[in-house]
Amino acid sequence: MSKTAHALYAVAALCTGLAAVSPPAALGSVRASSPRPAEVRDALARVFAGAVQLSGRAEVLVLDLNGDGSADLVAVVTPLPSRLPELNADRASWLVQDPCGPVASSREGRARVQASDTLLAVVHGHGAAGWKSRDARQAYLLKDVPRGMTRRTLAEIIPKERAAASPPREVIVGDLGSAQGFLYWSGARYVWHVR
Amino acid sequence: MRIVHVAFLALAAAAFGPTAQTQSPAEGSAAADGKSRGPVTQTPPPTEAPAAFDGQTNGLVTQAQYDDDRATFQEQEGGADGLGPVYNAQSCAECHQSPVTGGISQITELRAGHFDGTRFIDHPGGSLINDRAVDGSYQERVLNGNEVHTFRTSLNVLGDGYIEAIDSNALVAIANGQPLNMRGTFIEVPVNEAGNQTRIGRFGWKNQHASLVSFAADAYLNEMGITSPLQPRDNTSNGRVVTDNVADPEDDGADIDAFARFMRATKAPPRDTALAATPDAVAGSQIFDTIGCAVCHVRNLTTSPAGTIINRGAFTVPAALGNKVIHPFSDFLLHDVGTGDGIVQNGGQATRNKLRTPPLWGSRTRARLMHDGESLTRNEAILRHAGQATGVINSYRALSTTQKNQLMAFLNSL
Repeated sequence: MSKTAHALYAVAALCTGLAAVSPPAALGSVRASSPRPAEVRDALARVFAGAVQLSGRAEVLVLDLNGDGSADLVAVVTPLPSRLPELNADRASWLVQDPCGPVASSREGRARVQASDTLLAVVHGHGAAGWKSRDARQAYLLKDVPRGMTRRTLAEIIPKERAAASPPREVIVGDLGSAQGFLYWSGARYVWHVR
Repeated sequence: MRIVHVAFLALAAAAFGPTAQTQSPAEGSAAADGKSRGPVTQTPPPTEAPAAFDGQTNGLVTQAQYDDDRATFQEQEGGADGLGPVYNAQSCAECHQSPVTGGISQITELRAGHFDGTRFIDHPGGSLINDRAVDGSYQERVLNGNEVHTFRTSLNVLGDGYIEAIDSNALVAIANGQPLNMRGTFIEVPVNEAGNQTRIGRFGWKNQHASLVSFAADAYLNEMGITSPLQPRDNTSNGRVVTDNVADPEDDGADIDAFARFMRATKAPPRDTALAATPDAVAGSQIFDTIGCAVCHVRNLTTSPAGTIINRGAFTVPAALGNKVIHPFSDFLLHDVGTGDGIVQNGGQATRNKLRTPPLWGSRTRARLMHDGESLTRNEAILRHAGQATGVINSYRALSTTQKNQLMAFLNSL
């Protein structure tokens, strides 16, 4: 990362209140076994009540985005058009967020799922079983899916002199629009940072 | 600081079962909580603590004294008073103000440090990064290499006198009564005015204080840069010694006493009684208990009887604060609900990702929720809970929309 990007990262982190969720265990302890499609479908059905389905892109990542030492699931999904009201309900059991957009406090301003959307579904893991746990239900539907998504540790994408001081969280590196960047968990929401 | 979240001591295991926490042995000593002055008499039934946003004394002091102390709490400090060299605000009321003096505000403070793979290490000069300075060259910043940072919202201090008057053993009992996977942690922190003897913490996002005098002296120094006999040295700027050119201590202790007396004399935050009486809020209140919110957001607590010596001998519970029933909706324990900010203060490394259960009384006055103010709706704040709250929040997810709306009606009445 360049010095400019480094500074941008710091500014972005401050502006978003990059929270500092530091896991109790090293990342090596995260169980990042390859997910089987059936398991992924089961998890999505459990968490999103069947309102989304795996997209044709079929990209799935297992990583520790929120740094709690438990494996999270990330999958590219599409909404079932007939379930849009449920997906966008005020009291839905998941949160719809736009990592590139402003934080919205009003019902009118918040991100909404459209029928044509391709979404990134994130299921935060719980305990040793991670995203496979029946209790793993903290979930997000993110607008805008990066291309070429790759799992990286935060330490891998920030300057070496800062890497040793970083919470061992992971991020998703990829391309969005014409820009390369990474998706990270701020402690309160998902944020896309342009590198 | 010593964590009292204690291990499974064999003795405790034998006495209370394998999951019990034990209090500090010192808690039972002569000057500790629970010792009453004078002969033991039958305690009358507890009475409700007065609750109102009315700017009136709770009876601890006269209204004239209350008004004087509130004026001190609201007083704007300047350079001649010793403001700075680094600071966050010029008066207590700048952060503790809405809807009445002692309430909340939108103001947050910034904390930072770094994680070395095992431990959190304070930012040079301490984890608090002050947002203002009396000289531009003194301004603190988050320096490179400090990748752990968070905002902390200003807390309500209304009703804190009742919280101070809760026996530490009551907090221990709450922890021991919680399911193992939800059990809170209590820590012992210094009571500065009692020679730094320790008591179970209950104030601040990390439970970093147990007494209101210690809390006031800490805030006077760290938020306004005003030294006092209990906190006699000014803060640095990112670890660099700087000066405000006023001899320390800048307060002789009188302001600290006035701040503490003011907080002790405030009434508890009141419910919105009209909303609370609606069928939806009544139903939501039941749901709150049924799904388990009340395990940590404890509804009812009773203060120690009048005459009880607390704060390691430094304060005796007066009649106005003693034997009162309060409804703070908190257990005043530290929990990891997945939102932990990675910062260690008084509780040791095991508390890095734990935060005090925020009291929900008066929370209807807040627009920005959770420790960092980053959650803007109650639904979002609820869904942000994980970790020890996972089971409860999954029960919330399973509610119908009507039930969730009823729960929101209840929360909006607090």
